[in-house]
Amino acid sequence: MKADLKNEFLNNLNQHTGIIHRVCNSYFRDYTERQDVFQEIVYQLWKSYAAFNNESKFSTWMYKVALNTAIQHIRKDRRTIQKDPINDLSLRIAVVEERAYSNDDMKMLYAAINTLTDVDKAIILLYLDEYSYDEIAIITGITKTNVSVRLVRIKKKLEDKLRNNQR
Amino acid sequence: MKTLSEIEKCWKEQKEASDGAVALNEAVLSELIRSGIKKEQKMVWEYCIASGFWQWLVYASMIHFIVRFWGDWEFMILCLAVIFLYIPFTGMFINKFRHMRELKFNNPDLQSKDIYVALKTQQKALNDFFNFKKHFDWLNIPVCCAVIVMILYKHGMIPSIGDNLYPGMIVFLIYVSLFITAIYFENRKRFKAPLKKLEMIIREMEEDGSSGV
Repeated sequence: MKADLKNEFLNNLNQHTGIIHRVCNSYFRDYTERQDVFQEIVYQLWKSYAAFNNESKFSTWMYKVALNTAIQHIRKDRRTIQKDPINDLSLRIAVVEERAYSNDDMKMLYAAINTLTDVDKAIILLYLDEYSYDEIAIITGITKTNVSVRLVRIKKKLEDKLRNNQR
Repeated sequence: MKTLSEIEKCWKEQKEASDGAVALNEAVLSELIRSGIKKEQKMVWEYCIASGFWQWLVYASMIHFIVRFWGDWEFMILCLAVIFLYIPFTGMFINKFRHMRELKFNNPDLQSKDIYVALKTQQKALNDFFNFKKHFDWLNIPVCCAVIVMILYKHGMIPSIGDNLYPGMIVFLIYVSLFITAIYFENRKRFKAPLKKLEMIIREMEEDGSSGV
């Protein structure tokens, strides 16, 4: 039974691991920290999987868990963070990271996203991943109207940042 | 210069490439779960040690005194009185601590909630525990310091209490200030800073009545 659950979880998870990468890349600049949070998110997803009731899409639920874990991680004291990456997994994460960062535009975009507030990061991430305003409101807990107002502001901030970086 | 919409296109291409790029297998997942559990247990243990440190100090000292000065009934009764005074507070402390730990480590449902609700729940639990701890410290600090002064009197490091009250009072005040300083820094690191960060995010979400709750 548990093995079935594990397989089902892995099948779902493996289709959307990019979500974890994007959350990690947007919230953390340090490579080791990103690996640490990647593992933490997978662990939290596994722990919460029993509570996942298929009411929403797996990817929507995954975003909620990933964002909550990342925001929770930010509050941790930097000195207490334990960095003991699992080697095999670290290697695979490194390959994807290398791909994401080999592209200058992506590098610049992540650098710009990194300057936003924690809430704005979540909103722009969901927007870029083509979530509707309703879905963004459900995941973040803010109203749909405010999502649209905030998005205008965030896009403006990002454009300014990108313009300055390209100069 | 590339516009945001051009970069959005680039994001979409990267998204397709990265989704499913790291395929985890069962062995890696099992290792990851084991490592996660180990980390959590370590954190719970550290929390337990840090939060209950002063209490364990009081109990250990009192038991040590009872054994060390066995037969000195006046002193032994005083030590027992301190223990009995402390037990109900320890009970309350453990209850509050368990509630916070359950929420932090054994609440899989919390991570699936929307960000605002998850943050509010965490803030409430942390704030409740911190408020209780603050009140508890008001009892804890004087008792701990009184215990230390008692040790010093008993070991003759300061003159007998009947002859010289002032040295005892001065030592007591020095210890109180040391304890307050230590607790101040401990509270700042474990409670005030995390609460401040939490409140900052919540306030941002509540700006212009933005929260959907």
